[in-house]
Amino acid sequence: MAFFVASILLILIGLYAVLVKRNIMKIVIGLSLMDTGVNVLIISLGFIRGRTAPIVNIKDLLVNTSSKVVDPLPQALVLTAIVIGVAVTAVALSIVMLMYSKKKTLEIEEYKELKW
Amino acid sequence: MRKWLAIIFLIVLGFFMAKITSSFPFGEEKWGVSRHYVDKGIEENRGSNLVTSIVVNYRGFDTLGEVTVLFLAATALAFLLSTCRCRRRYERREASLIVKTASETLYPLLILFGAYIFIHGHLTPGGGFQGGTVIASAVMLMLLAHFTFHPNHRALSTVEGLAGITFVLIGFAGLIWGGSFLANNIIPLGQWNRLFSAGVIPLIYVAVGFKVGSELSGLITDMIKTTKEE
Amino acid sequence: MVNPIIIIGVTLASAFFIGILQVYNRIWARVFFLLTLAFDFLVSGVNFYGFITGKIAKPILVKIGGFPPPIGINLLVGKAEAALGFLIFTIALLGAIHWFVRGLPQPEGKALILFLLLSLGATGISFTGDFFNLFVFVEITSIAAYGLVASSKDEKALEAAFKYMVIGSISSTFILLGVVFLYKATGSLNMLDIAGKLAGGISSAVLALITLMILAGLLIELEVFPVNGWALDVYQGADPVVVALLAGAAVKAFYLVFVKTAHYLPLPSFFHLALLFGGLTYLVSQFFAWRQKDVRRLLGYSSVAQLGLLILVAGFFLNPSVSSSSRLMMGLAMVLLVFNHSFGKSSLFLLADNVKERKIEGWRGVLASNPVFKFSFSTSVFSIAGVPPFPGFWAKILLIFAIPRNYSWVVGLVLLGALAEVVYYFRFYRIASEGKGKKVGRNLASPLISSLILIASVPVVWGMFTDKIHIPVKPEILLLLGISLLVYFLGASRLLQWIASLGVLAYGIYSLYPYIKPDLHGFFLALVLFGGAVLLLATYPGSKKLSSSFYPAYLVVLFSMAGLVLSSTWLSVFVFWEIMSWASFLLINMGKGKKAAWIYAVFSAAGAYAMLGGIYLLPSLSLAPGKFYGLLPAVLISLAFLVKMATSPLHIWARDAYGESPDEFTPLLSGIMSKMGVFGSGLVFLYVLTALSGAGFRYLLGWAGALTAFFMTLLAVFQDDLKKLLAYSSVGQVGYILIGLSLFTPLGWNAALYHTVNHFIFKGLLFVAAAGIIYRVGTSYLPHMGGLIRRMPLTFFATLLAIIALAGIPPLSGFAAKWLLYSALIEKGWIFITVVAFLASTLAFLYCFKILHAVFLGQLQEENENVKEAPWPIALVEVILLIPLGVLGAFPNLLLNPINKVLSGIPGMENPGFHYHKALGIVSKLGHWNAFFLMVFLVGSFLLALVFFALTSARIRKVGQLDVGYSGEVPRAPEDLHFGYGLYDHFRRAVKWLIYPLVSKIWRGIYQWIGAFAEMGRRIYTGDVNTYAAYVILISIIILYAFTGVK
Repeated sequence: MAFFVASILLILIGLYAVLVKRNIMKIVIGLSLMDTGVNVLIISLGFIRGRTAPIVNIKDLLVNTSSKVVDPLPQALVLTAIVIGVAVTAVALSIVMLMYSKKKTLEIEEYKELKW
Repeated sequence: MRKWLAIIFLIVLGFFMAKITSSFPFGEEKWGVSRHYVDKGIEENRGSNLVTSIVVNYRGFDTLGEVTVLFLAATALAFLLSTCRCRRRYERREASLIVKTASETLYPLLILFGAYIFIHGHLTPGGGFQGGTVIASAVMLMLLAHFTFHPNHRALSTVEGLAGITFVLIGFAGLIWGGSFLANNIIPLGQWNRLFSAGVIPLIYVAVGFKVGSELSGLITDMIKTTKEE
Repeated sequence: MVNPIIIIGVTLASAFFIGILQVYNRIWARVFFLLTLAFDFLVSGVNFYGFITGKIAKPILVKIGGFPPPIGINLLVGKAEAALGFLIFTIALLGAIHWFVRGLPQPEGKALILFLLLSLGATGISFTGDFFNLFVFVEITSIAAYGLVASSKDEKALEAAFKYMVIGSISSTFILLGVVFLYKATGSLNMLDIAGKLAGGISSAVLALITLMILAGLLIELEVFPVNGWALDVYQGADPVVVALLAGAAVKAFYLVFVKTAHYLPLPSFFHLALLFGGLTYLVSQFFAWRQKDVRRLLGYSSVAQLGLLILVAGFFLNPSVSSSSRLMMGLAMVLLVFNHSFGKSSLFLLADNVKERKIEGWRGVLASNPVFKFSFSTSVFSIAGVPPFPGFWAKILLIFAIPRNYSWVVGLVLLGALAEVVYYFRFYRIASEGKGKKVGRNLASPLISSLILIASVPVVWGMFTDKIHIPVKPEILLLLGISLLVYFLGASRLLQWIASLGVLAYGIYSLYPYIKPDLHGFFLALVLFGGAVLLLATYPGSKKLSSSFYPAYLVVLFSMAGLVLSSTWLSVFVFWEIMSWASFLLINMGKGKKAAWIYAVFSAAGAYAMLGGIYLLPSLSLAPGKFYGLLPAVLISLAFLVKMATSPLHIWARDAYGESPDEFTPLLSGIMSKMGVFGSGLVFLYVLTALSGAGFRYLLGWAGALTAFFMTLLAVFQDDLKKLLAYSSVGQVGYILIGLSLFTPLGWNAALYHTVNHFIFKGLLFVAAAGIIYRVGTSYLPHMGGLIRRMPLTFFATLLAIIALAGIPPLSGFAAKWLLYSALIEKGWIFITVVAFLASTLAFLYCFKILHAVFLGQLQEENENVKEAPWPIALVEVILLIPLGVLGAFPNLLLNPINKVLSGIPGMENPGFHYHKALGIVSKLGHWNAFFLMVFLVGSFLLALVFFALTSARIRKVGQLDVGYSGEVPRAPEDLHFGYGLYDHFRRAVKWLIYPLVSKIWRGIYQWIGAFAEMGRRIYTGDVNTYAAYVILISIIILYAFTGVK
């Protein structure tokens, strides 16, 4: 249960940064936090109390596996989600680097030319 | 004002998310389609790591997409930063002799470790992504320690591309000889819990390992090298 | 059939391969890139072809890894997916061609990869049958898009990319969370599997929330109001090629997946969700675009609006309580809208890439510079604004008629938005078509291909449309419309086009002759065909430069009028009405008054959409007398006709549209096109209203006609421009016809129809004469004329007689009309209207005199010394039109008899209310009048006077214009001495309060107020990413709160 709460909190904190912070770097950090929160949430959704990792490398696990391991699918999904999160963060950072190199500021106030 | 409004919004949003999650009791057994993976995974794929079986075989198409996403990110980053006149605000200092020597020692070991991880992806925790990341961390270590260290960009791109193509070709091989894209029946599955087992899964994971390793290395190199002294 | 996985696999492999190639060899990377796109294009084309020909009967299910659906990932490619895949690669190929010609961004290898993967991602989104896989493809598309947007040269693009990235990340987080929750709740990620599990509808609140989460994520990607600030910024800031691919292809994939998700996760409240967000986005964005100054942002607003409309349509499409035939219509409308918008919008964005200026004002003159640019721009704008015959037009009709009756307010919303769209698109079009010419880029291949695709689709779309909604059209009309367009290809010579047009029209008369029957339709058909033939004769191009599309458009107007009067259903009336309106818009736009054309377009569209709304409200589309369905449909349908008749207060377009349209076209506009309003109003009185129910409405229209007659005549008196004077006069005269129609008595209709023909003759004559005069004199400004009687005697004579007819003075044909009308008015007892009409007739003398004197009498101006008689075709037409003027004056029953025959077929009109007596002439209750006797008498008197003046003319001494004794004062300019200059100034001062331009001020006020509100509303797009994110959260909360729909 604590995992759920923590992950939702992480997501919300990340969103808070996106909603409130005026520094584009902090916004990117917020997005990253959000991602992490989602990943934790996914993982904890697959958790089954008292089970082991879904790696069947001992004979004992071979029989009646489904009563001994946690749900492997969320783990597979989270792997994908993590990589995608990394990718988005990388692109975001490069955009931020470019933005900074052009205007020498990270303040969101300076990036409001497109509007209305 | 802005802060409080945001907090109110988020509390409401959090309430809805909590409402959804609270309907799934934490840690309780609830199988969906993954019951099949757990029950039939070994039989169908022979890979002891069920997560790997899912990642590379049952949902291998996602992984292909995932590899593409990473490739895209590396490409996009190189694309954007190539035009960047990025300056760094601090001065870079030469690392100390200890750091340099230690990093040189660790570099091949880390790469070896990474390779170990992705080669054993179907047996132990870890796999192509994890192994690739370890390899990239080796490159990053070198980059931080040595000014002069510069990975061969062409080689990285080539490895990256070839690894990706290998993945797709394995998929097509499945389509041609196995009846469907990414089918895991074109080479013998081997025996459970052996290095040479699980059919194409280790092959794909090795390709992914190469790809991720070279991509992340390239990505880090791009980020560090495009930034000039002020 | 080609396995769709091949498209994805090959594209991925080649993207990786280009990654290697670009390091070593640029050229090969390019070649490989193009080859891949071409391959994808072909393969997806083959699949699409298989689907439409029925070779592939079922959706293709691709089991990746060989696992059956819930276990492995699978692709599910049905007809829609195949079509979308083909669309995506077509747009991608077009964008790539444009890109290569313009020059790729550096380093180009990376750009190629991103471009390829963007199109691949969009394809994957539409093909995949797995929710998590969907998320992966969403990310592929998004990341490629972030990279491409950020790479655009414009510095602002970075900012746009950043906002896009932040909002895109939030949206994909929603999608991801929703998908994972969905897995947890249903135990599956496969779309079909989940759909099967939820087939009975979503009943638990948690599942509803999960579905809403996914839908909220997709709605953000679909740029709904107000979470679309990022999209607008991207459209404005990014490279147009990227935007074309995003708006033309990628967003459509998101749309498809949105519809699929809503279909697979059957949320009860989805309909209301789609209705709210679709409708809101559509309407709000259409209005926000009103005063947008940046071209790309304007196009962005338009894209967003189109997406809103699509979402709205999806709501109806997926609503199980809507009848299945309506849902099929919605489905077709959806396809047409997607197709139309994809090609139209990408063409427009690529065109925008050819113009350096970002501001609309900077586009002044772009159309004049390059015919290819003009062609693709016009096609795309017309297509998106829903002008016939482009797909957008048919889509609009389909979706409107598919809307169930209890949601008729949605029809109003759609039509209102469509009107706003016309307003801003044609304002844009107007500015682009103004001015002399401005250099634009020559990278026009892709827009040209897009617009050709749009044009080529017309017959196909027509087939699909008529499959759903039957429109009975005479095949001859379609053929003639087709041939008319072919005249364009004779564009090398206007003379050739003129001759060809005459030939086409002759063929038209030949083939349509059998339809000239003694009924209302036949009556107007005869007017259109024969009148059109005469007026076409007068358009003889001479040496003047006419646009090469003049004759095709002219013929289209003519034949669409023929189609209109031959209609047997209201829908066919509407279709031909629209074709006529837009073709005539093109013609007016060829004149010097671009603004006038714009106002005309707006009023026409407003009328036409009102008519469409009215038709929608009618339970039966057939043109047959039925029950009374309430006043609203009648009022709405009449609006279109009243606009065309320029009845006050809908008249403000008329002065400039008549006055500034090409002189060759104005006779048709005034002489025949305005009569289509008469025809239509007649239809309304006959078929929508009944004799009893419409009394009040008809009385109102009677007043409208009278006031139009009065005020337009008054305004004509003070006009100093020949054509504008004639315009007011024409509109005023049509007011009389409206009075006659509104009387709805046999006598009144006799008068109306008689005056219809009469008005055609004298207005045709006057405008043709005006064309001749302006052609010779070079201006339509009255004080620059004068004394032309000696230079253009025939034109003078024609004008004189036409004016006599106009003024309703015996012995010419006009008198009969007025006499009948007043008889009818008095008989009906509309005394006050009679008084106003009388007053207007009297006022008409003032401007009649002014025309005659200012143009023909008085002194000749020096610069007009060498003016010759009008060119022979004009002179010929003048003579041709003079004949009926005189003959009908003497023998009005030549026309009245056919009219009686026409009316005898109408129930209640069998008895004309007058009869013809050999000695007394026409006898009505009020008296009698023998036209022939009058003619002989008056012509005799005239001849006597002529003889007298001829004998005494020796005593006349001619003086030059500047030959004045003026107490030593030197006149400033010759026009100060012109007789017509300030002729009625005293009178004007006296009636100043009457001619206060109240109506145009009100209209302008409405326009400006809406614009001001739109401008204020647009401020919600602050450009601040925090704010945008806050909107996203707010909207998500609202969606999650309000649309659960499950207790």
